Amino acid sequence: MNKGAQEEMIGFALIVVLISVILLVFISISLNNSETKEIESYKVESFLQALLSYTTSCEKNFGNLEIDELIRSCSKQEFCENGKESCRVLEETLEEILSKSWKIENSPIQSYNFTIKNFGKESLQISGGSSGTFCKGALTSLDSNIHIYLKVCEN
Amino acid sequence: MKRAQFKIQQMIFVLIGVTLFIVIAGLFALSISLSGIRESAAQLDEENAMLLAIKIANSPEFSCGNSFGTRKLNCVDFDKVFALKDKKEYESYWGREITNIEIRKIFPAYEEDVLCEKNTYPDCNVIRIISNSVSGKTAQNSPFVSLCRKQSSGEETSNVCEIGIIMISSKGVNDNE
Repeated sequence: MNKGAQEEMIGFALIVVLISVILLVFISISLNNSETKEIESYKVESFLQALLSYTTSCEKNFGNLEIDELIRSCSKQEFCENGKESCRVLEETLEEILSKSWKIENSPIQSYNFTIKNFGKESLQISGGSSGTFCKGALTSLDSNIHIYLKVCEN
Repeated sequence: MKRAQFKIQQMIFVLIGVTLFIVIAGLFALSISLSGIRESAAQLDEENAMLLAIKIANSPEFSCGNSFGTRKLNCVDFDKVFALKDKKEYESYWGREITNIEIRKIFPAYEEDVLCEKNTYPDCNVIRIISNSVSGKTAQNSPFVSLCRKQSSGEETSNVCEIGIIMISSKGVNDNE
């Protein structure tokens, strides 16, 4: 066979192999993209709305405060009628609600992170579990100064 | 002539090789892109089920309206829902596809399920609207709702709001109608 033809065939085969390798590398990089993706989730948003309306055990002004009222009371460092700090009642109640609502054991949920920011500073943070690659979040505000954020991560 | 024939043969082999390569690469790319379609379809089903649950939760039959202070979103009037339970007039109201509507109290948590009946209400955590049995397919992701009711202590009446989820069961694809 003509030497030139052999060279051309080898050259063609090399080009095919090179393109295949480049394609495989590109595909493996795109498939292995394990960055944590965060998307809005109506389930998390609906939880925040329901959470803010929850009636707590903190009595004030002849009635029990709801979570949103308790957050405002905590920001003013007020006390419940039984003498307990509103911030303490808020933290205890939120910890219990979050652990029962977003169960980590035997569920796809890996972690949750609840944050309240007051005038830009973190005033309360409650978290459970660890890691998780697929995260859903929701943000709500009581007013221009108090912002509440919840992030839930699954596998 | 032999040289020309050889060149033509060479070109044919090159063209066949390139075509085969493009076909194999295309099949590979197609299999990767189509592998996500089933997951997308399942995700869409779940989203639709959640939207339906939200629509029902905000319907006049379930919604708190202004009964518990300022209008709340996704607020279910537990007293109203309990009154609606087992009402024969509402059996076919929810549509043929919906087999049951269940509202489950998430917090305060109960160790065991207590079905809401006349002798257990409001110290119960599960209320089923259409029937007490569960049938059909229930969506995995259900939206949270505020479960609000009126509570009397002596002469005073106060609002109590708890956290629950609303679950819609519907006829599956393989269910017999």
